[in-house]
Amino acid sequence: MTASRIRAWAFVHKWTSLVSTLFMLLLCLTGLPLIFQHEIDEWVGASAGPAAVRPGQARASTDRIAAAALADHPGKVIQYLGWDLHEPDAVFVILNDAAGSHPNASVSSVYDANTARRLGPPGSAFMGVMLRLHVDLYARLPGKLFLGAMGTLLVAAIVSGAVLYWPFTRRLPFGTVRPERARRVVWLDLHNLLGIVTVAWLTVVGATGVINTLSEPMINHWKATELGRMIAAHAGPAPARLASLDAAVARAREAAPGMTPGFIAFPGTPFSTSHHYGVFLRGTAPFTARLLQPVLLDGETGAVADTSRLPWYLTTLLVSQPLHFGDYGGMPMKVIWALLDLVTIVVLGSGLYLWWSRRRRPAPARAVPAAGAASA
Amino acid sequence: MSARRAASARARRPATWRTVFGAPLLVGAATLVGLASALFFEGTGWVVSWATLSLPLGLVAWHLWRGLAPRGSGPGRAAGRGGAASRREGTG
Repeated sequence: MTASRIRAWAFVHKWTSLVSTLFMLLLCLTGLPLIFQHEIDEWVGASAGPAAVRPGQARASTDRIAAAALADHPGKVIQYLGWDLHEPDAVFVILNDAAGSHPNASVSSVYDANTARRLGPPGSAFMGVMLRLHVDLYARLPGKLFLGAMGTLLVAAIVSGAVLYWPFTRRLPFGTVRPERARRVVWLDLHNLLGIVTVAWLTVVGATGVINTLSEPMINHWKATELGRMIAAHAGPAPARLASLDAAVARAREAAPGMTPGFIAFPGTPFSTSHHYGVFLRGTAPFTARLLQPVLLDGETGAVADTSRLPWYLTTLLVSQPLHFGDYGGMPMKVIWALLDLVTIVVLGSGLYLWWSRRRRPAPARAVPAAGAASA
Repeated sequence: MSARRAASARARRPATWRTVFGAPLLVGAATLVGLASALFFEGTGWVVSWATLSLPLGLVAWHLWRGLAPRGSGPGRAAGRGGAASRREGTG
């Protein structure tokens, strides 16, 4: 590797890191509690857990849960009703002033799938703040896209960092830490060790995070194309009287054998037509449970009108979510995710320190390309 | 052999991609296997993911202990801590 190449990669590493580091630190810090979102919400008592199921107890009908939600929220209509992937005994209901109202005006409640009893809001206010800071910095779509750009810079920083790993460690055994040397050298050793062993994990989490920032444009594109065509072909007057949800779900399951309902979009919402329910079913295996298949059903009769497969980009989005959240391998995986997150914070912090300490002492900085040149 | 001579001997040894990137590549491959296994296989796949995703954490803990433990109590390194050759790298 020539000195000029090392300098070029160092330039890329320095600037992609510098621009993104503060935002990455924010994402690491807010992401830490989000790994345990479910546990924290339960711990602070945001919502009660579902009651234990008595032997032989039948599940509450979906119609009964919908009726309970409407009774609990006078003047509202249901937009979505869905089944929690991680908590099979919980049903979430999202209500709004009208079926087509903006999501920001919606209210959500969680219900016990067996007793139809209201369990509470879906999460605590604290976790809501963490989520907004992590997802969009309270700036909606521009915020998401901005964080996506920062994530792209992170991936560039990882790639350039992995390239620079060669000139900086080629004379050292793997994992060298030299505590007897200057503080700066110790932090460089730690930066190299912690950074290189987490490269694959951080690349996956970073790249899947970037994909998630594009969820809104992806869904909008789908609504403008395939889903839009499907909806346009079946548009009709708003249903005078809504068909039974249980009957609609049963028919949707017949249309998509082997799948289980994920959520129902009520007529008039962006994921259904003015006249139809959109029932989104998911698979039952660990992988296919992440994928969804939409079925359109007549809002008055509950008859199946149409079904289609998800386009590839939405499949990519849905598969990228567990890889970003770390929520698909039980509690041990969450703990590992959190520890890797902490390691990442040290990598970011040490990188910042290495840049700062070199800035203050510019003379030794010139030794780096020299050392690289010697090794080229 | 003095630390200085050991270090300069190592410096003369040509660095290959295998000595530098061998361990990181194995850790990276293990990580990817773990990430995928839990996604496709419940049960065994989860256990595989816990084991492989712990590998980077284990390596960090091992090398920190090795490097930062006071001399005598840790396994330590036989020679070459802070040799002349490695000092040059330290300024990056």
